[in-house]
Amino acid sequence: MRADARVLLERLGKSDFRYREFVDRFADLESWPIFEALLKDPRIMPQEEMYAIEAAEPGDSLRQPAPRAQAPLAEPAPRKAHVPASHAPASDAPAPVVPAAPAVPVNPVAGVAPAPVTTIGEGAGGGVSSLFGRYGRPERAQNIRSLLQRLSDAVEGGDA
Amino acid sequence: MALILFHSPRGGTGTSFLAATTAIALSRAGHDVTALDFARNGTLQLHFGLGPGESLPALDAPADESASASVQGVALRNAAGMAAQPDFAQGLATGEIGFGGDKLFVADIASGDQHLRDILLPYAVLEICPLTATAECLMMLPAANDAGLAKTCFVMSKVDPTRRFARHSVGFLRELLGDRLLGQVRRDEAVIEACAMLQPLGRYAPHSAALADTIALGEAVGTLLEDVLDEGGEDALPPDDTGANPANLSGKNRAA
Repeated sequence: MRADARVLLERLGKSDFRYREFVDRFADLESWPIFEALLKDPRIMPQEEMYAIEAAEPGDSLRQPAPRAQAPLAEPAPRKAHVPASHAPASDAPAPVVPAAPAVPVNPVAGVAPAPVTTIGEGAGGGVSSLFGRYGRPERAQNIRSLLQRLSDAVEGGDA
Repeated sequence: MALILFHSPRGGTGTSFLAATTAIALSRAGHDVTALDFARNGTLQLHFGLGPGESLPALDAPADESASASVQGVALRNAAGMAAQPDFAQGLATGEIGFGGDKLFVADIASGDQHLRDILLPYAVLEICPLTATAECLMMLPAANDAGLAKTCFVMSKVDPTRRFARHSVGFLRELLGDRLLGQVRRDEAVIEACAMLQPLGRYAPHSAALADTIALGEAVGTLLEDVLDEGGEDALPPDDTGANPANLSGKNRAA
């Protein structure tokens, strides 16, 4: 850092500074293949969604992903979070199984039963695919920057 | 009260550092915080200024033995031994081991210990996943998604904004993750030096860039935690049903 800049920052009481935030968020975003590879990964973008895109718009430039032996983003059964009744969403879903606490809980940590487990979304894995689903639109763009710019324009233009 | 996991699918992302600084920030915000080191040969204590010769009391140690292990308002416990017990998962399931009460538990889990993360996740209200701006780390995202991210928020760690790929990665993840990206913590030599000096960062470099970022991160986590606890988690995190709605593509970030 230049000495005069350091003196100025000290006078201003600023010990650190941030890089400038560009008005155009995508101006400084380049099309790194790793970004595109992530967006095309069937574990990020659900396969069925990609199939639907392909079916709806034949000739799309997206390459059909290789089939996976295992269904992506399936919820592993043991990871299903159990939700106490007080926290359970109002639905007709069957009541989750909550392990019975021992008659006299011996808790080396807090001396009480496990903390109420809040479930965010649709379970520990359910619906997670759409966490990345914001990109689940036909992706004709050949690079990330143009894709992001196009989507941003759509939002700002009120098309969305 | 609640359990917060710190786990990254990739090593070297500063998970222990972020767990420690977040624990300190939450303690300063008035929470009764216990930091749990679940890593064998973990380094969590280093970020509290405790050297390798000082062993942390076990999670189930008697109160008189563990009373002294408190730094900057955060109680420190070694939980690796308990997690290694064959009946650890059963103890959680039966309630023998729990994370209730008024305490807030911040757990530091080694990146390679995905199994332990999976065991603890159902009992956690929140998971913080640090990522670094490297292709190796971003490559872990699909696998992490497979493991379930419904409770997961992300932090960009060790960010050097003078580097192209770091800037692009932050921008890309900001769009990809939206509000799930809680913020970014800049790469800062002061973190390394503070550890070498066996001092907490706040004492060694109170004006460092990384400390300012971690304070902001702690505030973001605290706000999110209150939302999760108040709202029962239903609406606390940004919705994951954004689907194909371009209106949700703006990816506004809380702290970055």
